[in-house]
Amino acid sequence: MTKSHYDTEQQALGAWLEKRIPAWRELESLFKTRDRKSTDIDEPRKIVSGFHMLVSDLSLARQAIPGSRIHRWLETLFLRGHQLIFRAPGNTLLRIRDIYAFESPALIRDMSNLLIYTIALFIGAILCGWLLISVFPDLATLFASTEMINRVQSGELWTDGLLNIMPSSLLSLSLMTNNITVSIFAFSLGAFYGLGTLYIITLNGLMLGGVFAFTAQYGLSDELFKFIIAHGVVELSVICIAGAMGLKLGEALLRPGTRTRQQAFRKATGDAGKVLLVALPFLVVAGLIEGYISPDPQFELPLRIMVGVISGIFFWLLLVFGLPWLKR
Amino acid sequence: MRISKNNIYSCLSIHYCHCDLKTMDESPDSDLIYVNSADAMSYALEIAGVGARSYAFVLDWHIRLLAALVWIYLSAFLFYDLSIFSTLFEEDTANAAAFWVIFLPATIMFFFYHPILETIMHGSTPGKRAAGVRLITLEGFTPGIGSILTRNIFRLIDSLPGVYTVGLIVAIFTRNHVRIGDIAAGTVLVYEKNTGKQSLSDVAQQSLNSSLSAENYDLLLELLERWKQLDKAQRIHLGQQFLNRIGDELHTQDQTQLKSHLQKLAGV
Repeated sequence: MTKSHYDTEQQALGAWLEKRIPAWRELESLFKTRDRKSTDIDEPRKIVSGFHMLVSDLSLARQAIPGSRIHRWLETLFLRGHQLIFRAPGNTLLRIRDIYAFESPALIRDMSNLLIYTIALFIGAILCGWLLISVFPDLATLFASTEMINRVQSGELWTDGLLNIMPSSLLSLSLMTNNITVSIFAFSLGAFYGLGTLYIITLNGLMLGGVFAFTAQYGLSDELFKFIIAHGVVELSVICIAGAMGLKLGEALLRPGTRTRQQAFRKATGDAGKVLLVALPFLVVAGLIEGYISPDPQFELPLRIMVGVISGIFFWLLLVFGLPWLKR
Repeated sequence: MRISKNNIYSCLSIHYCHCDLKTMDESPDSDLIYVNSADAMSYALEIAGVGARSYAFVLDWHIRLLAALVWIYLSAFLFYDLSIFSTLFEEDTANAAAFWVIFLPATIMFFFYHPILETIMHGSTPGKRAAGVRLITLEGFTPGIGSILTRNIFRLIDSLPGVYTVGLIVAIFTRNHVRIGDIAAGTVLVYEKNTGKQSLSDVAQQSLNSSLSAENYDLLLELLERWKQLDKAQRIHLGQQFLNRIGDELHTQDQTQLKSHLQKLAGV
């Protein structure tokens, strides 16, 4: 390259920069100061036309000064503009409202078969657990710790006097954490082709049935029912729903249909996320009931049944019908 | 001499082409993800590897642990008394309130650190920022709350059976080096491009004020930025090397004189 050619290039570059700098400066400032609530059409129009010019400039910079700071800065500005202009508009609160009101109920209705299978599997596992411990009482050690077994054998439930050991607040928090973890596990383990979910649902069913059978042998199953009923309806419902979503995840991997496995997996996860967004907060309610009402002997059985039934009805109505008084 | 935009293209021997990525500064072997805009512009981002991902995670883990511990002790010290820890787990209304005040924020800090900060910091966290990486969607956008929550929920299985074994193995073998949570959420970790601390127009203005070519000008700025990190011998060696490169005849062993000469060339 001759010196004169080099000088001409430098001059051209200089002239180009001199001409474009004010536009970049304006665009940079528009990206920073844009008013999202403004109804003025001029500002978006300026941003869009500025972005189109930026695309031309970036193309030029890629050829003329590749890897330079100006090139990198233009790329950064391009990404900001791309994000600003092409990203789908979103209002988080409206999205949540739509999920609660319409999307989650529609998904639940779509997957009603899978949900029924999951509940059937859970109930089947409860019956199996019951039968197993009724026939082989020694196997209770599979589902209950030695301390729990000793206390039942001495005529009391391990939940008796729970509040003397742990305050309700701590109890609620630990139960909430545990239940949310179990539900998320039941869902996310579906990523192992649904097998992990089947394991969690079956194991929980077997444990529940087994523990009931074991306490029945010592005449304490009524007490256990009294402890569980207030929070159990919602808690077990959420676990079943999380399990159904996990199975859907497994199904997406096994039978992705016209999508690729990754696409099907992503779609199933997105759907599950919407349903779990509605269902999981109920575990906070269940945790509070389990911490404050279930272990407290002051609350009689009818009140506990009422709490369980009302919370369960409210939960299922919201899940299946959403918020029907709202319009899209 | 006034040069119109059309002349610029001819002077620089450039054809108006949007999609030539061969000129980009990534090596051809790098793992890249392409962002395509509606203007037919394609932009490549380098995907962060397992090393950068792990480094960012370890940094974040320490930060959130430290933040939670600091809150536990600070809140106990400020609102109660450090002796509260000996009675905190006993059944008492006052203790229950103290329990919530002390442990709830700490629990949130530790377990919700990633979703909260990734949302607030637009796909970044302090650890990711230090590692020079950032989270984006496969379309090149900052991920929304839904994607962020999804990728964080899957931490439960990515962390199985401990120390993120599942996540690491999946990240090693997937094309985009992503863990299961990222596959589910449609997100990917990319390297941030270092653009320095100066604003775009400052950089461009300085280029204009300098007589150097863009390439040499950037080299000079790099040298000046790293000046403090270099020892005397390195400063003189690199400074002279640069001056030789641009055909400058100054020869000096005085680092102060050398620096001021370089600054003058850079127009800063």
